Amino acid sequence: MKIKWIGAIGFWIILSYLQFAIAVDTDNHTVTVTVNTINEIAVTGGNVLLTINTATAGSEPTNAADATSGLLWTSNASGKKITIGTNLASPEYTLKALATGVSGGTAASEVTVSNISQDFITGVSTTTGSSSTRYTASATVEGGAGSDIHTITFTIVDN
Amino acid sequence: MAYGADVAVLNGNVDLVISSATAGQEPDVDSDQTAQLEWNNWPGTSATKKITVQTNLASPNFTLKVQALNITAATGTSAGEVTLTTISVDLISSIPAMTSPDVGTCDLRYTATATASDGINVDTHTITYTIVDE
Repeated sequence: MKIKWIGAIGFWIILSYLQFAIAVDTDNHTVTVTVNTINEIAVTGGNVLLTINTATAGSEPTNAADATSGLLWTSNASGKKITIGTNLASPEYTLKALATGVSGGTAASEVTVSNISQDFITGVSTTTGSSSTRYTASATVEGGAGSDIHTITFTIVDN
Repeated sequence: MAYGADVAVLNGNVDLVISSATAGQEPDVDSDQTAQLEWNNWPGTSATKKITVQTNLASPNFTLKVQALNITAATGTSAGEVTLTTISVDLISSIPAMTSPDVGTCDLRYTATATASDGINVDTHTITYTIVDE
């Protein structure tokens, strides 16, 4: 009986000590971070006007060029490129476009803009990037006088 | 009478979703301030305490930060915003002994950031808060 009492007292002392000793406590919860597919592209510099109104006598009209607009993009997806296309099915004059000063991708060769999408910048996967767009308009004397109004669309698409 | 220290996370788990960006810039940051922390440094221990935080995720794809905001007066000092790693870092320091039922509380503001080069993925962290002697 005496031994039981001693044991109980000892247990109480140990328990009290542990209460003092429990100076650490923890708790936790779950934090989930999800990053979804992001593909954003924007045209900078606004609309572009190209005017052909000169020529050297005996030659076709002089080309008009503009490099005031450009692109910005963000893509966190793999295997992406940027294409260019116009809504104008049958333009009177030739309009070409070339990406210059590209960061975050690789410029394709200069393209004649048509209503069939063509590669403009490749290798834009998981990057932020920017470029300038150099448009060049050309006309022949047979094309006469007139205006082509293009709505140019740039699209981030799968390779 | 209880002795020692307690810490508890309130308001459950947190979901952060990054799904937008301004063209030409890195993806937008997402943040959440719904979770809270509650603690007590019971009388009977003379030592001031601190609360540390860490994640179990050794190689996260994205950056996750947390900050203790709106700490109850005189119950601790925020260490500011900390980046979560598997190594515990101080989140709240200088927690004095309190008188029951006084408790310290704060809002937990989580902020997730990603770069375009980080790609698309999901990080699931188990975030552990520990109250220890300073």
